[in-house]
Amino acid sequence: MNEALLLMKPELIVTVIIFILLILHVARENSSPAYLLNLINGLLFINFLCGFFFNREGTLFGDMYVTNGLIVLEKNILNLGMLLISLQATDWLKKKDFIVEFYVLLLTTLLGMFFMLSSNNLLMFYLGLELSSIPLAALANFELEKRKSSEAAMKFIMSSAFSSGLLLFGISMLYGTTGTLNFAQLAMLIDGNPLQLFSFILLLAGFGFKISAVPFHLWTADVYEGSPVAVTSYLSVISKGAILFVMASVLFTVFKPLVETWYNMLYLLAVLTMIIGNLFAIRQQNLKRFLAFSSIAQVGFILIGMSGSSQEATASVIYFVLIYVFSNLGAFGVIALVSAQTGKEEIDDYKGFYLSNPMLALVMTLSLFSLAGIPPTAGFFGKFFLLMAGAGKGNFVLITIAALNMVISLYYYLRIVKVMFMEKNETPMEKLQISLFPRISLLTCMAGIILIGFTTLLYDYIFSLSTSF
Amino acid sequence: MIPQIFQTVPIEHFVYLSAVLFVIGVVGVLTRSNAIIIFMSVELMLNAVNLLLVSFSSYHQDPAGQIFVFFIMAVAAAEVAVGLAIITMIYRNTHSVDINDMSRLKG
Amino acid sequence: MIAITLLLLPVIFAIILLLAPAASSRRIALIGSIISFSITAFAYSQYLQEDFTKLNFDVSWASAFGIRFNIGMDGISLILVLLTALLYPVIIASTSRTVISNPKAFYSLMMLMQLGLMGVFMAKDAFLFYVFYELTLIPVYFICAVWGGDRSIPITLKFFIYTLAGSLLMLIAIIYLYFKTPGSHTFDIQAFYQLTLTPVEQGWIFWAFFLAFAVKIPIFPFHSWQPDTYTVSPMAGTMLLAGLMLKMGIYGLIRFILPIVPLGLEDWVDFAMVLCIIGIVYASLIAWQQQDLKRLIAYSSIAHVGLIAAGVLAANTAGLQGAIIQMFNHGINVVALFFMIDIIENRYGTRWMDELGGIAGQMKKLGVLFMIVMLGSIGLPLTNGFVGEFLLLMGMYVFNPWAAAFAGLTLILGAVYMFRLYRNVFLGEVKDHKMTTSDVAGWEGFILIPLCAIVIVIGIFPSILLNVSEQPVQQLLQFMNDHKSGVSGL
Repeated sequence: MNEALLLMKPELIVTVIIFILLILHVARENSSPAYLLNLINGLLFINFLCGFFFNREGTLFGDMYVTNGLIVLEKNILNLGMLLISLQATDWLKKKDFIVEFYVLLLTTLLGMFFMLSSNNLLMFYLGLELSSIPLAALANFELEKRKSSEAAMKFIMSSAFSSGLLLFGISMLYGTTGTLNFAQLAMLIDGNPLQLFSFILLLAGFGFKISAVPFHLWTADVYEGSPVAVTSYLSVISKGAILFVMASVLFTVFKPLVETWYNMLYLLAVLTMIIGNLFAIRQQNLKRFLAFSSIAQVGFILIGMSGSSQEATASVIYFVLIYVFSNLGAFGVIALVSAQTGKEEIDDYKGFYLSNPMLALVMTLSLFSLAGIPPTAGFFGKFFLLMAGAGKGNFVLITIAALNMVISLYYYLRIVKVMFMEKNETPMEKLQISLFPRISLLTCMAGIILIGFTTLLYDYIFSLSTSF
Repeated sequence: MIPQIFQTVPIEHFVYLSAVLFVIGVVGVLTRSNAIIIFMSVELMLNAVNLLLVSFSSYHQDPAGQIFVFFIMAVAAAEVAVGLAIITMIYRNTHSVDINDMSRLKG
Repeated sequence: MIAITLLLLPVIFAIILLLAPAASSRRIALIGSIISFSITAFAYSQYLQEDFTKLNFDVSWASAFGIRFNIGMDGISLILVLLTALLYPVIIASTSRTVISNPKAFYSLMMLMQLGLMGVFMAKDAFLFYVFYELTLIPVYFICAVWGGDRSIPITLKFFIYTLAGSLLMLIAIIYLYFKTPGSHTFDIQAFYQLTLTPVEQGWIFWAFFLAFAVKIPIFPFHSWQPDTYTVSPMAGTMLLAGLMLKMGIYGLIRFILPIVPLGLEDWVDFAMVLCIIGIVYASLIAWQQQDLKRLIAYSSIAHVGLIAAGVLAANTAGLQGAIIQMFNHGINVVALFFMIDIIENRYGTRWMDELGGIAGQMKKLGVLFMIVMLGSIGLPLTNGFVGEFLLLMGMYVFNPWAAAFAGLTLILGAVYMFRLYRNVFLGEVKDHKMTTSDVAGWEGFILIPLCAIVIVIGIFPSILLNVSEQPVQQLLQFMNDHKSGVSGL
């Protein structure tokens, strides 16, 4: 087979799926939702499986596109998350009219992320980034009849456009001082002159917006609350994960010469993000909003690992994102089920949840424990490796702050557990039906949370793929 | 390839001009409350970037910057298309495009 | 092989419990714990024959960070593993009277807890130690919160957050030590023993570890979670906490603080010792005032473990040996006492002292058994408590006679409050005449009589435990002294 085609395999498969869906939509307009959903989930599963075979390493398009073992792995993680979200969304989508449109938009963003991950050039990076964020605004507005949904979309597109503006200004400065857009050449030409520092700050702010690091997080909670659950989970897991991967690789390759400078900035950003995220999470009443702030706090943690700037840092960031996919989607899976069947999203609605839905309560608890980083769940190992990577710099003040934040976060995660298990409810939730697809998805998440931590083989594998710094 | 005549204007002028444009855009985004004007301000930011890229491109004698500009223009158009569609949706619901009215999600 | 079996058994039984019908849960859990006990007994015999090969297990775990799944037993570990294995059947059997809602979950959590406890006592890798140390927290939290009494939710939440906050400090210290190890870093505890740290570093690490363990033990003023948690927890949860979980803290003191930061200990030992002694006296005085029997034992437990911790901090052979044997004794005594209080509560419907009286007349066997355990608990000669407390006080006397004198108050105060309990509850007038009560039933005797036998046997032949811990204690002190002289030589 043609090497070029194999190199671009993940992107090509996603593109093919998008076209299949479009053609199907035109050719068979009256397909039943169940048929469509089965087909799409099947396709996504094949897409996920294909990620493991015929992987090649190399570059394309005059060094604009690059792929290697690590990038393939990152794409596989995104594929997995995509599949899990799609499985979880079936209950909700069955009632909707625009299933194909939903998936076309979703897959387009995935395609954008793939290009972004594989980018070796600022132009490619920018295009991938935009391709992955513009359709998301349309997705946030997917519940057309709801005003909240439109508002969320509005806030998302505005902050997204604003942050791309910042990012682009940074990129143009970088281009001006070095005369190239290629990552490898940039890394050689960056010498730390003031314009480059300025452009770095702009780029960091751009990234900060996308990963919702404090102080660029203001849009997050509103968008998460207003969007449909499936889109919220996509935003908080897949989209954030992809940007974190790219951020790590841009910081570690392009800005390698400025490592001493950006360490301090990342330090500050991480501390602020953790503290603000945690403090705001405590007072939330809406579960989606709560998870929005908790995910901000998680990003703070990831930034600690990233600040380690070493082989361990790359590996631990990727490892954590993988675990984060499982833990967060475990929680969102339960929320999606509840929201699709009862429309309830407040924390108080979950009082006595354990009595009516013991299994779902258990899934939620494990996911929250994993997010809080309590051993022996995978989340603990993820956070531990991030801490280890961060501690490699010898800054134990940062590690102590992180540990204190783990205690705060524990408090509010346990609050949800407490509500579900131990509080009485006047109007308890009825027993929910868990259909096959969400069930598979939740079971996968549980397996991931329990097994990934203990079998640290996976970490060793990621570590072996990451290039030494 | 790229006319030498551009280079008779010092590069600083381009940088200052685009920086001023960019700052005007940023201030517009942060202070205005009409959603459409905010989008205009974002466009202004992007055009400042475009100007900068084009001028750098000509000073470096390297076409990459100009190519980048085309892509930015295309993407910005897409962004505005989606943005305006969303504004239309909001207008249908609330009969207003003032973002201060969108405080339903605050808190 | 034995070590890994002891860890796998609870996991296997937890899975069986989840699959098997709820009606047979308790029986399955009991079988599991008895198998664990027999394997531990086998381990003990192997240890006596000095055949250590089967007691260790070591595989690479996360090689990128040099983490190994390294478990094994030396004498100190063995005694605590033995205690765990011994108390588990007792604790599980003790639940047979109470109706437990959702028994599958309850007993599975108990098994998970056993895994954590065994793991903590056997871990030879600091990271592994931390994981198991935290692992115990989840099951005990759920056992106490879900199956506990009124107000159990806020109280157990406090307990959870206290202990987790404490242990995160330990995690930081462990990471710090990891980066200090030479070459490719490692979490091996033995490697930590070889480190030479500056006195300032030692001071910080001492506090990080000490706070983590002090919360768990608990040492005054970190004890505030404990009496409430004990009171609201179901009896099995209280037994787990008092009998076994506290020992993790003291075990941590012995394993980490003494050999790794001897200079930090030297600088701060007076302060820590004073805290322990304040705790001992304070808890004894409060126990004296208690009307609730369960709460009384909870406070007396603070006093006892305070003494054990003080003995450890004295850092000499007598203190350490005393601490180790007393950990075992305290586990046995406190579980037996709680069990008997449970019997009383079950028969009379109350555990308030002023509502009880003259039980010894109605339940003669219980009166005798309670007397034996009580004497063990206050440390009368020929009972197990005597050996432990004598050694502890001897160790403290070597450290500082005044410390020993104040700590010795616990013996007097202990006798005072325990006799007060016995007088009010077992002797005196019968308060509730209508009650027709049956004496200790067959299966209850089946639990209590062996425990009482252990109280006496250890009192007469303490060497069965002391011999086991002798050699590792000497080794530990050797490490400590080498370390001290090594650093001062720099």
